[in-house]
Amino acid sequence: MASEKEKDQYDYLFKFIIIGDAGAGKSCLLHQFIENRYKKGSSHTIGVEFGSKIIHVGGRNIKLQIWDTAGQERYRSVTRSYYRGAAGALIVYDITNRDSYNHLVNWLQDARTLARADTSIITVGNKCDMKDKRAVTFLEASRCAQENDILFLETSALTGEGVEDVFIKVARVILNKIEDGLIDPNTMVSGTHTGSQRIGSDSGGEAMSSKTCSC
Amino acid sequence: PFGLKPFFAQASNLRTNAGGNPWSHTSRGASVGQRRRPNEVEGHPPHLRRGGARPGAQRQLHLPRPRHRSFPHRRGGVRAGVELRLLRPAPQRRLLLHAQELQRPHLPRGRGDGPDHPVARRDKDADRGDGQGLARHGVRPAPPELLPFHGRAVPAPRHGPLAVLGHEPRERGRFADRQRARLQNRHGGVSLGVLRSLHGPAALAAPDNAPAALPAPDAERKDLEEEGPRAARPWRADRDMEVRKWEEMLAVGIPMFMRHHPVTFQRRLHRGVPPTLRWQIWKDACGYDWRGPVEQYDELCGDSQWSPLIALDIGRTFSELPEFGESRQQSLRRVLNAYANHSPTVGYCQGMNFIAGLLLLVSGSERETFGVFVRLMDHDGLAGFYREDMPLLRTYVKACDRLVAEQLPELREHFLRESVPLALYLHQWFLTLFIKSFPLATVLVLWDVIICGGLPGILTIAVTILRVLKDGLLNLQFEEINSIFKAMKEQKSGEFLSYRIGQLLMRESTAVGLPEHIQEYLRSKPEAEAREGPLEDDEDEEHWSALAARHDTPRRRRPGATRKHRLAASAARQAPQEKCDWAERGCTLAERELACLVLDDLKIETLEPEPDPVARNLAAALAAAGVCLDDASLSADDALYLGVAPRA
Repeated sequence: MASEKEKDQYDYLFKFIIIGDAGAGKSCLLHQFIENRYKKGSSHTIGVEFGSKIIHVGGRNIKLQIWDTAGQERYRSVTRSYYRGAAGALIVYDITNRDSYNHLVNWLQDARTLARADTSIITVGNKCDMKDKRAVTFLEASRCAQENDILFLETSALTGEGVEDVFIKVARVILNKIEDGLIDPNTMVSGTHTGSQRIGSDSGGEAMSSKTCSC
Repeated sequence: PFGLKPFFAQASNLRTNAGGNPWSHTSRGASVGQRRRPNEVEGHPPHLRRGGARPGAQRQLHLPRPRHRSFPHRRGGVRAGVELRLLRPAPQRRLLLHAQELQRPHLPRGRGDGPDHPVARRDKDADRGDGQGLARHGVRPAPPELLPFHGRAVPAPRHGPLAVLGHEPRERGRFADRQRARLQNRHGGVSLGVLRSLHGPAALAAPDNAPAALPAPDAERKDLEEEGPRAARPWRADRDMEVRKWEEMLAVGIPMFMRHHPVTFQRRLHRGVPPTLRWQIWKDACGYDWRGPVEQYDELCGDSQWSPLIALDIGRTFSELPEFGESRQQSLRRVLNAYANHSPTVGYCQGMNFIAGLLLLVSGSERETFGVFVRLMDHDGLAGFYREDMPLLRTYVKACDRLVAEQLPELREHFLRESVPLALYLHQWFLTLFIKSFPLATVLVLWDVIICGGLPGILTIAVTILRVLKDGLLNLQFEEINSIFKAMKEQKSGEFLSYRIGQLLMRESTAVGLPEHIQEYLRSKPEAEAREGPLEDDEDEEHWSALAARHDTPRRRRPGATRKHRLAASAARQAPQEKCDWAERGCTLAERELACLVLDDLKIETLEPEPDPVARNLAAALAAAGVCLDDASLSADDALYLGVAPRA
């Protein structure tokens, strides 16, 4: 039990949101990150789904609460409210689908207007295992990301290539912002809060306000 | 006072009427009553007399008789008419029954009026004069031996005053069968409470013993020998009868029956529809019409502007089901395209694929699927869930939130404390009508209720589910709650149990109901008015309290008290858990709660022997309680009836 407890302790809690066109592989990306395996025969997301994982970045245990959203444009009305609390946003496109790349601008605009200004955004080109069907080059996408001042990585939810890096990269950026004092981790709105173990029946309401470092 | 003379006098009268058209006068023969009114049978107490202005008489005049559980002798057919004269309950009691029927808030929904009115059609049919009119509608006249003047003694009813006069009740027969099956099958399937009362507690003691080996009372022994162990196939006795009942209802027309016998209908509906008739019943209930859009299906099913998205999703619809193969996928693609062409303002939205997919699975006919789908979307308002901005979803989520606040306030507070957003589970439940969140066998039972009872039924179902899971959810934190909702789709316990759980959920749902003010909210909130903004916005409290004050509906209580096993189960819940990951634990808890539901139904008050505190799933919990209900116990025949695949 002791190891279990230790495992459940974390210093910070970051909220992430995954957005992007339908069929870009958002849910598979999340599943690969959490379960370390590819989700075969999955169906599309309705509304939002949730997953969480604790990662170790920069000597800190960080718990990621990740909200995976439905990609169809019509669902924006219901996914909109999840942008507010996000500290990090993953915009996923499919490298074999030019349209999903073209829609990046819209998603970026959504993230900028609906989420906080200091939300860290990363563009993720998914399905990079399908090299022969590639419709968007790495160079083009990375240049676009640079222009918009956001991070960029390519991943494959099928093979797991680059998946963990995406989350670690964003978490590290947020962590840096916290250490530079750009984000106050004690405000709920920022999508990050300091945590302690949340085992047992006490809800984390009070624990949020006091930073407890277990390491 | 109940001498034979008036009985025969009336019986002969009925006989003269038997050649005519009994339906046009109701089974009791209004004309008989009217003719006799001047000289009422003397000596009968007032409540046994015919005629006279009774409350509800007008309403009953042209309708089939309602069947009340408490008055099994009151049913259609000539023979029933004979019995009724002598056995009709006192008028006060009747009034009460009618009042109860009328007070049911959430059923029925009227449909099907017009020239094609089922009764009009039936009457026309019956008048053809070939003597087959009633048979065509599944109505059997009384067998000749039951009519007087056939050289036989008139059989006595099994209940009521005549029975006291010394007539021997018939040993077996339709009537006796019906009564017995009703006892055994009060809730549509297993009632081990009855089994135990018949066979003693030994019936439940040893899980491994086949119930066939149990000592059976003489009266039941023959049945057991003939039909095999009842506990293994408890639904069997009821099977033919259920089908017959639903055929009769189909003959009358489901909407028609629903309107006039809401209580009976609801009771039967909650037992689940016979799978062989399911599609017919759904078609009838939702008012399927082969004209209109269905006629244009061939032109509509071409490509639309939504085709790329549809093509993306058809491979992701029921991909885990072998039945949903390539041909069904292509059917689904055409149906969805046809709807997008038929209704361009709605087009296609993710979620619709599951609705149409399930309809395809049940119907097998593409064209009919399209017809029913259009009907559900356009007529029942399901389209409001999928239109731009999803206005109806907003309305329903708010109404559901309110219902939870009223009926499960502690759970709502707990969810707020844990910041569990409503959308986490409600969106998926509502946008796929529970398909994506529950095993298909459960979903079918829920859909029976939704399609027959109307879309607002999803609110009742949602609250019922939360209510059943409440005890478990209250002890959990956000992530475990999330995993419970995810785990409910898992089908660890087999299809039959999923089916049972569906039935039991529906039975529980009678305790939830849909209060009048929620219904008014749904009516008063046309889609166009739905406000912008996040869904979690609190609805104006004043507005709600004003609505609630206008309809001061008392909160209904769940039938039956909390049972000991619930305590036992919650003690088991709090026992130290083995190390297991969230998903597994969530699944265990969800199943355990549902196991409680099943155990509750089986009237097992104590778990003896005490179940394994870490009983991992429903099957284990039930096995610990000595209940063998797994799919393995299904014969191929029964599995076919239930529409589930028997496990090898």
